[in-house]
Amino acid sequence: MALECIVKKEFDVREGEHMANELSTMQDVVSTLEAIVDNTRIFTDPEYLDRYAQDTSLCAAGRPDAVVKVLSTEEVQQIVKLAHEHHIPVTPRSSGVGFYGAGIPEQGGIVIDMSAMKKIRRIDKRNRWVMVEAGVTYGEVQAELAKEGMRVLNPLLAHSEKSVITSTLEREPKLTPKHHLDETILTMEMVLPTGNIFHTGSMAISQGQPEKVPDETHSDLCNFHGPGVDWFRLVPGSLGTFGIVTVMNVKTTLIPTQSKMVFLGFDKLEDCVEPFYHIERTLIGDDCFLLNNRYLASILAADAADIERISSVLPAYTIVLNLTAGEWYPEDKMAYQEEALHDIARTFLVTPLETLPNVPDVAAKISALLYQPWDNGTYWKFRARGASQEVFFLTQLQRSPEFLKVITEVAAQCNYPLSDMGLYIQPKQHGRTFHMEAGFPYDPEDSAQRQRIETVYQKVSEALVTQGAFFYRIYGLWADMVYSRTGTYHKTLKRIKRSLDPHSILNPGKLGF
Amino acid sequence: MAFTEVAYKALQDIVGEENVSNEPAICQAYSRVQWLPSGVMQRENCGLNMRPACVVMPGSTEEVQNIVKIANRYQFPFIPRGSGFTFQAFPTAAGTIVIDPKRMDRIIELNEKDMYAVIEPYVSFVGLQSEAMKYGLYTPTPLAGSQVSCLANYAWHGAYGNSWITGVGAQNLLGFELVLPDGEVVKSGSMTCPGAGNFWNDGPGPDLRGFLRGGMFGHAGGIGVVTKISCKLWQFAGPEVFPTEGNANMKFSSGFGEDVWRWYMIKFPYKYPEEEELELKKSAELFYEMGKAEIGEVATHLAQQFLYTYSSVTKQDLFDNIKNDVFPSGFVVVALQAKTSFKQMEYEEKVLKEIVKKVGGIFVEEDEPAYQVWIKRAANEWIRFGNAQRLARPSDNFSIGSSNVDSIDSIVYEIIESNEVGRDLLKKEGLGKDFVQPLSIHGGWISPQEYGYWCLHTTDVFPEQEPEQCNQAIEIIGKVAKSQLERKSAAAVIHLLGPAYDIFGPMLGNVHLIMKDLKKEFDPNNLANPGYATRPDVLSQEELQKMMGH
Repeated sequence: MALECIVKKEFDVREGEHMANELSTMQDVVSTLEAIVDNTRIFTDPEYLDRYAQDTSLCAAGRPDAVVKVLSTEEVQQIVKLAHEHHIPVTPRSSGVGFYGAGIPEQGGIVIDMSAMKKIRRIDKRNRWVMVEAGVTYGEVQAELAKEGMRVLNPLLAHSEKSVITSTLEREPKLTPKHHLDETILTMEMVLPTGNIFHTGSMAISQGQPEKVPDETHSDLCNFHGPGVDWFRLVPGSLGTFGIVTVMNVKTTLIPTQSKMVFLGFDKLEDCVEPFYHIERTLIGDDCFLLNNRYLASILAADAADIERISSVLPAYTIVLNLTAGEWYPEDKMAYQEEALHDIARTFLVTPLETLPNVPDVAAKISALLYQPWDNGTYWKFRARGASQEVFFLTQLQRSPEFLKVITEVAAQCNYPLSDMGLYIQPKQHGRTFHMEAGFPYDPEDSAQRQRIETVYQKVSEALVTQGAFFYRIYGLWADMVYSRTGTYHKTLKRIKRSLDPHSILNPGKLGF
Repeated sequence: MAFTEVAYKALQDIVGEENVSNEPAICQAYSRVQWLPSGVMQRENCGLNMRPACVVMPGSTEEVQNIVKIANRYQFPFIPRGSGFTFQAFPTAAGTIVIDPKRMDRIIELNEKDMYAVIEPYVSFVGLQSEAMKYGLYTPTPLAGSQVSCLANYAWHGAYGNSWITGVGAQNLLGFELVLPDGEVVKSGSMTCPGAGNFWNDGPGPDLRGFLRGGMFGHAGGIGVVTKISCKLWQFAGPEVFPTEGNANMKFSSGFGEDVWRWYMIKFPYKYPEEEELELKKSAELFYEMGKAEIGEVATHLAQQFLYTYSSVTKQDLFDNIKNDVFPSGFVVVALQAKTSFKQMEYEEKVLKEIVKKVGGIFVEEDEPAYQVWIKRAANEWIRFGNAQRLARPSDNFSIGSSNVDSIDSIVYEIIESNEVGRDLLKKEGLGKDFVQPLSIHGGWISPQEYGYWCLHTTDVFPEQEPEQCNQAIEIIGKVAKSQLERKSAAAVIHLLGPAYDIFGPMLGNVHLIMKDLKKEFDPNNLANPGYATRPDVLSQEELQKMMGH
């Protein structure tokens, strides 16, 4: 494919400025790339490229002109330098799966596939962190950390191919809603849009290999602030538009010595609100979340055919709470937490259950899944219908019934079968805020269903934004929908982008720049 | 273009004649840098140039916005002021105006359920704390004192007595409203989305708090004026009113019920300062164990200098306490709070006792002088912090001698090494020999953050408020920092501000160039506190050498 197809696209944020192009054909690009990586890791075959053109989301496809599977930061750096010099779009990708369209190369160019960067560079048990490369998945890192009695903070049943770094940068909510474990990024090695390697936090003191910094300096890589700006906040949520993170050390926590799963079932979401707030305010438990019957059944069912039956016997909404204890007097800790929980239950006239009626071994099943990625065939959110479209945002818990009403009313107006809809509510920072997520399973092979789900997605999102739902992660159509309402916020982001990436080569188009 | 009479009249039109002044006596009051030796030298070197051309007191974001637009129209520099503690908040060149937010002092929202408050710039910690406690919540407790501006503290630096739980300012800032250097207003977090509320920080998309702050510092007004923030509040077991008796500065006592709050002081059997390293390493062990167990509300190591300066009610008392060797070493101070229940606090006490035993620590008994002076007299001040001025008591002046952020282990290493350098400077060059606090280069404050995942430290020096001693203090600070960099400590990462960007930037991935690009993008005319976070232009070698010479 000729590179003209790349250069004709205007992606520079500076109006009227077009990219320069000295490399006139794809062959020129490939030749230059071959000087950087082995040509067996450069792909231009259209069929192969199609794998990168789409993910499981409803976002429009965008085929890259080349895919390069990299093995090191230096390779990423050289490719970005090349792209910077010749104004070629670059889209980074670390996971083997994508749900939100973030890794689709909207404007073509080069996809840098980092999924083969699989090294766990260093584990610091004393300071409770692990350093991973971009392609390391939850399953891979949890297996290594378990040997040390540790685990990373993980989202609810991540996909087995989901990269820890991608998930962290996308700010996927974690199951453990503790204040000090909400922001888990410590230091990062990044490739800036100019192609320069940049180290953040205390890693900045050395330009050497990240895992060697603690040996070569007097830093344990625990300071995540700075230098200059707080990259640990500016880069997450930017979908690779501000820089490509190749290595990161993240906080870990200890695997508990004792745990007990407790369930609180409710018929109405309104009834969950006060007990949920109180559980969080009293700081009990490690992991806590709420699922509706459909989502919980999607996890518990032995196979897809059983989802409906299990869903029908579960409470409409279930708060799942994992009480845990560590090394010191675990019985005492479990006892005071249980007592606090029962006080809350008495106050709000609910009954904490150690299992759920009509579902055998539910506590053991959930407990076994809690710190692991989904490893049971088709991804759990897709089990019911083959695909699912999510709409998620942050809210104060007290507003969650109001937003659920919006979601169900709009979905019903679109003739979506509400009994199929999943709901997941995840507290963050002991209840300062709650991630609220509605999942709409559908059959991707059925064009009518797909068309309907596109309407549901668009209309539900629009109604929620209008109602005041806070779309904190921006993907696809949410960029225009949200940023058109946020005054100068987007303009400020664009100014930062222009300063960091003057040719707008990194993942152009994703956030409206 | 300089500040002119026309510009002055334009400011009067915005805020009203009564809220703007160019009276020399009033403006002179805004040129008085408190405390820090850098400020003393700034005063010495800048003289009357530190007197602002005028002081303007806006009453709203719109008025701030209009002031900034006028500054752009007439091309004069402006500096937003918080509580006026740090030398970066003062003019260094003629024709600069100071924006004083005294009229913007409202607590706009206090949300009990979602544990946050929305405040204007002149809300102090004590103001917010006293309101929050009514709802079973409280704020971090700043060492700068409860009288300081919450907003400035969170947007700027912020280090707290209860950082074990709360982290520093960066961790407590939620959303913000910022008037950019060109007068545009940008909001961050959920407050930028109509109808979403003020409860959350990151997004939509990238988190602009990352732009507002960097390292341990904010931009000191260099990218605009923060006019509103939402900030975290934390679980507090009570009581609803802080229990106090007596005069805040002199004889003062406060106490919480033993059912909600308990203090502990822990020492180690080592001779000080000869065996300081052992004592600090054992303290580190204690913190690591407490962190793994996730217990405690306060956990900090206080060096002798902190213990003496914070607990003494007068200068004479300070000297008497030193003479009587009330604090023969540094101590670990821990507090437990019954946030879940009384049983939870009892559980944590049981674990604490086991951990202290495991690491070889000794609980200070109630009849020991250290307990009587610290726990009885000063400990609750970590929560209230009405007496931050005590830190300047020895000499009416103080400065951080060295500072770093990293792991607890790294911090212990830094303290030992920095103190060694400081002692050498005293011994060989006589630097600091006349400082009023004779122990000033011993020990250090170890402040583990967020259950010990990271840690902050400072060691302090106490020169008198006069140029010779302040120059010595600055020389000590510079030489200690140089030694830190030579041994590849990560200290420079947190010290970037002003010319430090040009000095340290090249060894930190050329971050100074990134920051200068951002400054040029947002403040091309360099009007918003010129020079902060960094100047838009790169300093020449000559300029750098001149600065290093100082």
